[in-house]
Amino acid sequence: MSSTFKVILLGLVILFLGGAIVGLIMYNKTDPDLSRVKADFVINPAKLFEEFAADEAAATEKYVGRIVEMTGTVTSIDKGSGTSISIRLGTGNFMGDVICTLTDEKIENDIKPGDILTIRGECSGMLMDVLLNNCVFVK
Amino acid sequence: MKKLAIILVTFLSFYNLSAQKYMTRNGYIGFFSHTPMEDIKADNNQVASVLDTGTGEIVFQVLMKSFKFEKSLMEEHFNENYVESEKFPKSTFSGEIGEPSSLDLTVNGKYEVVVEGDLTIHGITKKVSAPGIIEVKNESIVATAKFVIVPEDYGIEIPGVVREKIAKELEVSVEMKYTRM
Repeated sequence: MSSTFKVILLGLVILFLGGAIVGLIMYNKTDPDLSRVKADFVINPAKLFEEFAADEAAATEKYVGRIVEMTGTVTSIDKGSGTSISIRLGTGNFMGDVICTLTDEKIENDIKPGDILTIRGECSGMLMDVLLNNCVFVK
Repeated sequence: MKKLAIILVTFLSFYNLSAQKYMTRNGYIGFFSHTPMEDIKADNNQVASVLDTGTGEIVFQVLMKSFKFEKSLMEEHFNENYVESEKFPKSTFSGEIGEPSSLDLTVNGKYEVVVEGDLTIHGITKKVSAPGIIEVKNESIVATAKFVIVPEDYGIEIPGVVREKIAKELEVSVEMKYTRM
């Protein structure tokens, strides 16, 4: 076996293994921890809701799938299924608020209505309220 | 005085109507796929739903982008290739509880029910029927149900390369914790 052939063979093996490792990493990749991700938009709850209410299609195009950070006043905290918690940030608009969904292990301190919090989450879109998912608190 | 009576009757009518209505904005719908090659689970904790205990009507609305998967790649394929979330961002169910007149959902207890209605996914609407349980506890109602859907019925095509990893039938779980509107 010539040395050139050995080098090519070794190169191909490294390429194949490298590809397999990258593929495996990509396949098993989980959602990023948003506490380590920079927000695409910093906006207040009222403004975000207003944009969705005015033109849902345009706001969906702009915000859905993006990371949004906002500071707002808690209007309610609701326990969902399993470990899911929903924190509502008021918009001052009776039509809807911004609902931030997270798991209860992310809550370190007691949260109560009236508290002012800064939350970062991934925008899912709008139903009755504008929804943020995978939320984290920004300290 | 007559005006006042009309206002009062109108108010009481609305009060009675709303008194029968229960709502959640953080309900749960999940689905599970099992094959010998892989188990896939997705959870959505951002479901909006209204239940009218008077008429038995029940409505759900979900954003497809709110389904969260264990792996990001699965979520990406689900949204981009299968349910086409940008084109069909919402799924809805609109139906009713069978024989609502035989139920008294003002009394605490567990009730076995059958819910029937129209389920719209991926822009295609199909009739579905599912057994469920409604538990009334004071001012709140918890409704749970499990049923099976076939993605192909809703025009969702699974490419051959991943066909062995995704079950032909998906088990759907529903859990809604309603509070009075």
